[in-house]
Amino acid sequence: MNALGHAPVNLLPDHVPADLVRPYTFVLGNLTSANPYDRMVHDVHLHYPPIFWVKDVYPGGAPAWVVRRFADMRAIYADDEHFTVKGFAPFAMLVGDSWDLVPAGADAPLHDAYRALLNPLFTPVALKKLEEKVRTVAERLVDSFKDKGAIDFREDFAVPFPVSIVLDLLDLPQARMAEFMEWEHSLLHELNLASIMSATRKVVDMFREIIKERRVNPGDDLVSFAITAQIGDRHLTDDEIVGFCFNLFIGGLDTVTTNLCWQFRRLGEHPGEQQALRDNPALIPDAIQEYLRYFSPASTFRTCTKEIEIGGVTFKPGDKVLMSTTLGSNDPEQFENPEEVRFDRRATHLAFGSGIHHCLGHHLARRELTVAMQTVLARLPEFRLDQSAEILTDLGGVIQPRSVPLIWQA
Amino acid sequence: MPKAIFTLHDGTRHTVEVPIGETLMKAAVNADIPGIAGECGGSVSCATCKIQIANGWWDRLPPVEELEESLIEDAVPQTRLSCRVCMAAELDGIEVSVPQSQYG
Ligand code: HEM
Ligand code: FES
Repeated sequence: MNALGHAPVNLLPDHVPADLVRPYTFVLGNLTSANPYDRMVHDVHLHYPPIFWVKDVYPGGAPAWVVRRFADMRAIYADDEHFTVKGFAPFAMLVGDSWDLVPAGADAPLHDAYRALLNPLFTPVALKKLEEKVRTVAERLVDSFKDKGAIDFREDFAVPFPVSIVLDLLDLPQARMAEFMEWEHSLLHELNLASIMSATRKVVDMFREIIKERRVNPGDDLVSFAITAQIGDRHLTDDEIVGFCFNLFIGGLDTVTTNLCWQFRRLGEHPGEQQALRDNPALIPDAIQEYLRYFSPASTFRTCTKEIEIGGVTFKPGDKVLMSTTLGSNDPEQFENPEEVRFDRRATHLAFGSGIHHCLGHHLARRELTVAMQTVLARLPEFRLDQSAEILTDLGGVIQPRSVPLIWQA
Repeated sequence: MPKAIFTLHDGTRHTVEVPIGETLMKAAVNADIPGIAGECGGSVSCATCKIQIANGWWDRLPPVEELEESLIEDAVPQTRLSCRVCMAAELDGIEVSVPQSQYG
């Protein structure tokens, strides 16, 4: 039995050829002390078929097809005739609730209605009023450690920074930071079923409480917005609002943290890139676009609903599909020498997915990453990765280093 | 079939056939026009399908709605999202240019 309580399935379905079954390192629980972006990520492309079967890669330890090519992934993201997003996030089910993630857990046409409601809240124009806050949070965090000369960038910046911003979006006191960080960790990084369940319960209870409170005392925050929002002539239900808040919680925190960790580890290991950005901060948006490609963190999931053949492989209804944006964004058939960082690439990648579920928060994420880089480079002298420290990296659900030890002359 | 002409950043011109009612984004992506990403598949969210409309054509397009406006506010003048421009008989031959980058 694994974390989510399913027994591993070892019997191979008839339509899965034995030669497509592969071991896969990027699963929850696996660790490495190497940098997986040096070789491991690229080795999958070198040695594996375009689509392969992994026995335990789906959340809960179930088998799934893994699709590694950019073009196949784009096609599947666009294909709601054969694939659904339904039923992947196990959180509600774990605690016996019935809500779905909003909008990630909905198919069209309900999904279209959700996005029509939510897109206007996350445009660059709508986010302008947040810009000041994002910058202030970044400056406050950097100032808290700039005289130390050594930090764990993950712990001291990459984790608290996005949490602080989501607290703002929900208009919750920053005092809840520690609690939020602990729950987030349990939800996304624990293997132990009991801790995942208990964290889910706590997060849901918190959101239900906030909804109750905002019904009485509405403000200028996302929960209050969701309470008054309408789809056609109906309001959102409490379950839908919980699903929306939960989606922000699991979509808007760890993804940003992961990218920050890798970007600053990279700058600490590549003084040339760091210097180029210090000399010319106008390069920062291009650099972030490229780092987002290089370090695309998210794993996305679909379930087949109608038989389809892709590249000679048959997908049957019920088959699970994992699309790792990490792999898709490093597909050598799409990107020339994907293992090289090139700021002038300006390439379309899959960090934010593609199609109707394309990340709702991507403008905000880019703002956060840009402001973080501008602020750190402006306020810290040249920093390096502490090469004497061993860095362990989790290989699943997201590929994330457990620490990013940076040092500089304080 | 009506046509749209895309001029890329490097000056090359690509003529693409676009069925009436289809968006320029979809036609460009299907024709592999470099520089039009269309990441969100036309749900007016990603702003990676920006095009600049040539003089003479701008006024023939339907007005920009609020959501689109909020995604192109900082872009160069006469920018539209190509997923919001549908081919119509009076747009046959429309000339647009593709920015060097859709990002940043
Ligand atoms: C670098 C940071 C981020 C990355 C790499 C990222 C990645 C992604 C990806 C790949 C998807 C598509 C999932 C799928 O197709 O199954 C997605 C969806 C989503 N993301 Fe993000 N995300 C980031 C930041 C954020 C932020 C900051 C927020 C909100 C505050 C957010 C909210 C969402 C939501 C609500 C969805 C669901 C959209 C839908 O289903 O229509 N994300 N994200
Ligand atoms: S394709 Fe995403 S906004 Fe046009």
